[in-house]
Amino acid sequence: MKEETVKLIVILLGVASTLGIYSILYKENKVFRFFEHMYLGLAAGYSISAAWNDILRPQWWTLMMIEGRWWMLFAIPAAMMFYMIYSKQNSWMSRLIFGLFLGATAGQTFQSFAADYFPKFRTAASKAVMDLPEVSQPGAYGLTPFSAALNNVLFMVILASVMTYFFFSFEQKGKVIPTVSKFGRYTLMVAFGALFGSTIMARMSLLIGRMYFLIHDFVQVQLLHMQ
Amino acid sequence: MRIPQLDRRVLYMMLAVVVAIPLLVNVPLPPPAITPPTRSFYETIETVSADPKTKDKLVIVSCNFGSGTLAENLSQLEATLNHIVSKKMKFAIFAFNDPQGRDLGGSTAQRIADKAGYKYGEDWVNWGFRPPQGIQSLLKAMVNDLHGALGTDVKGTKLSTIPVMASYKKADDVGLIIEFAAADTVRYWIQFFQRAGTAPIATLFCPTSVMANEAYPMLETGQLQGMLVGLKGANEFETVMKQPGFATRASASLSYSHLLIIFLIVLGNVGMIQDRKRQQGATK
Repeated sequence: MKEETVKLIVILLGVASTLGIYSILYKENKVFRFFEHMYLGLAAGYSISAAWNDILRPQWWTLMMIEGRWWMLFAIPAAMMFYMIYSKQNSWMSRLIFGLFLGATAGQTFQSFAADYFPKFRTAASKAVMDLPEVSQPGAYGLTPFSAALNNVLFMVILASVMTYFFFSFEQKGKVIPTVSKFGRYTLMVAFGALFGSTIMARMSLLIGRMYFLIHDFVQVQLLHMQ
Repeated sequence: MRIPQLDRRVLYMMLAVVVAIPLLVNVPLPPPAITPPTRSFYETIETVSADPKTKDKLVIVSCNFGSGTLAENLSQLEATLNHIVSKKMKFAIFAFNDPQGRDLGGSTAQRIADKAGYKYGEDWVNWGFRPPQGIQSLLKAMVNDLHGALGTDVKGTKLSTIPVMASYKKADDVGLIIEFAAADTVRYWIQFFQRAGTAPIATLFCPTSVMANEAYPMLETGQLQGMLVGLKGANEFETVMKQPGFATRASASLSYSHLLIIFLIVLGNVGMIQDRKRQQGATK
């Protein structure tokens, strides 16, 4: 089959799938359900294929069967131990392997926590001493020294008030604590608004991507032969 | 008809029209303001490619996205790879979160490499996909032995026999990490690879816009050196590079769709206030 014919078939399938999935916007229908299930099936099959072709075959099967690393066979009983959780008599075997992995993961979590959060703690703490960022820094946003200082103060106030909001271990009484807590709640709402704005932008981008495919790749290039 | 009773399908149609028109006809827009994360993203690649200590090192292009976020991540990837090949840097495609990233990243790299005269195996390589479940252990193993930890490339060829990999054996041989992601997978690089060598490796992030919020603090902490925020970031980067592509063409649709949504939010609130007043009037 010619390359152009294959490309046309791929694009036509893409058009049918896009329109089929978007048909849910009109109302629930069988065409949507068909394409939804087809997508799920394809995704599952694709993942299995990737697991075999990119991981199991080159990293395990070939090494064991062709290069003679016979000890890799022990991966099978080790993996089978996970499934012993379904056997009442042999579930102790699953606990062994789960315990091994839990221990390894716990150890890695220490490292990941330190590498991830310690720099953030340091930056947050340095705000208190008016650490003014260089204008060229990506987080600086070209701030003047005054606005950077104001930014730092705002940061500290918001940090303190949001942390106050999340103190649930005692009753928030009096005037000061509830007011600070309420301010923290409002700033959280502003942050959630910004997050939601980003979500809208992401969803719009996805829509634009599919519209571009329909308009440019299908109509303009395939049907009208425009470039 | 009252505003809150407006059929949602009318809104979908309005949105489709607003998105489609700028894709059909050229709707002029002023050039985008280049935000500091984008500028820093560009400057980091420039610095790494010019610094004698890092210019010959490997660039890891980590493609952890699937077809669901093509519009954002693919336009970021295309613009960034164009920049990398223009600087004659050698790169490796890698995916560990979504197997589609292996193919989407590989095919995009192939297309751009062919145009730039890059040869597979000599100037770039595709490491393929590795499972996310074991990525922490894999990244830790890669720090001291890239060849041993990864084994083979996407074609099943041993990395130790691929010419481009001959001089890249450990984390110290990596000059730049660029993560294109639909999730917060950049954390794994920061936690287990970025600072595991003798010097920290510059790390850039290209998330979808919904993921960008969580990454902003990492710019200030120095864990990230630059970021392209979704389609908007890709548009800014294409503008800096003076190479308009999909993101530039889509920027008008993005801007006008945002305006429509703001308009609809205002309209919805006006409708709600009107309804409330009507109900209050009826109870009186």
